[in-house]
Amino acid sequence: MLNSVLVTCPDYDRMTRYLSAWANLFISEAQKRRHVVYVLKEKDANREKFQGMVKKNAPNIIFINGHGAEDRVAGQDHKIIIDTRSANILKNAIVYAVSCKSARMLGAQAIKAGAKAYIGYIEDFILVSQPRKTAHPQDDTTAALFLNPSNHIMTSLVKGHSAKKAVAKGRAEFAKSITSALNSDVQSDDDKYIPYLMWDRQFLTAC
Amino acid sequence: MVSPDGDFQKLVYARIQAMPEGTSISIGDSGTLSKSELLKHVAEGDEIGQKMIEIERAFFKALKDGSLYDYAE
Repeated sequence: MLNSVLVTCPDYDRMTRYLSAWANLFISEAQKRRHVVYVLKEKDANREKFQGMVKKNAPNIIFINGHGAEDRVAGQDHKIIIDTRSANILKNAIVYAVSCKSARMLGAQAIKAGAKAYIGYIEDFILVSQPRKTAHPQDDTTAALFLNPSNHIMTSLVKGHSAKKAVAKGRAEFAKSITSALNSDVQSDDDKYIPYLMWDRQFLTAC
Repeated sequence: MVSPDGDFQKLVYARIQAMPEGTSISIGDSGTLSKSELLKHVAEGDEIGQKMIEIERAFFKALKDGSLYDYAE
């Protein structure tokens, strides 16, 4: 099954830089598998372009990366890209938002407006990273513990799995990260990040 | 810096102190915080400090009741 996927990639601080770097890994993989991928990068990750892209191309999967709150997710420079008032544009789409808390209200509103599913986090999404890797986020093995599971959710969705199954896959991948951290050797600091992996795993949800 | 107050707060402070110097943690809209910034928040017990305590408390609860191993495969 080939999908049409819209991805937002803001990049203006460490969190968005990392989210976008890992979204790019997903994008490359999806394009190799011949899915149609529309990407809104940096300044293009704004409300007008996002809404225009959704209306024009009607992507069946929408992958939103950015800072958020209960009722909204931001694009570039912390400007709102989608909120509860505009949730109707998510109608018929499956949405995954790597963002804080948006599954609480925005997710519920999206479902009410006709979205097929909204996967997100009902609490803050926590990311641990190593500053010396800022120039190459995809090489940050600490961040990988958090963002690999996140990318697996998207991989699962483009394979045609249900939102429920994609969340189960994401949780299983967080569990793998926790296991890996628990079993890390004494020179590794990964075990110190287990509380934060547990946190993200616990609050990942599908509306 | 205000000294950590309360046993659990002290424990969280010590656990963050044990992290490598370069560690950064991004917490929602609070931005990306360095180890020294995290320690300051925990010591002061402000909103971010309380969040760190909440996260660590959930971890210790899971360790105590064994559910930590439900998370692991």
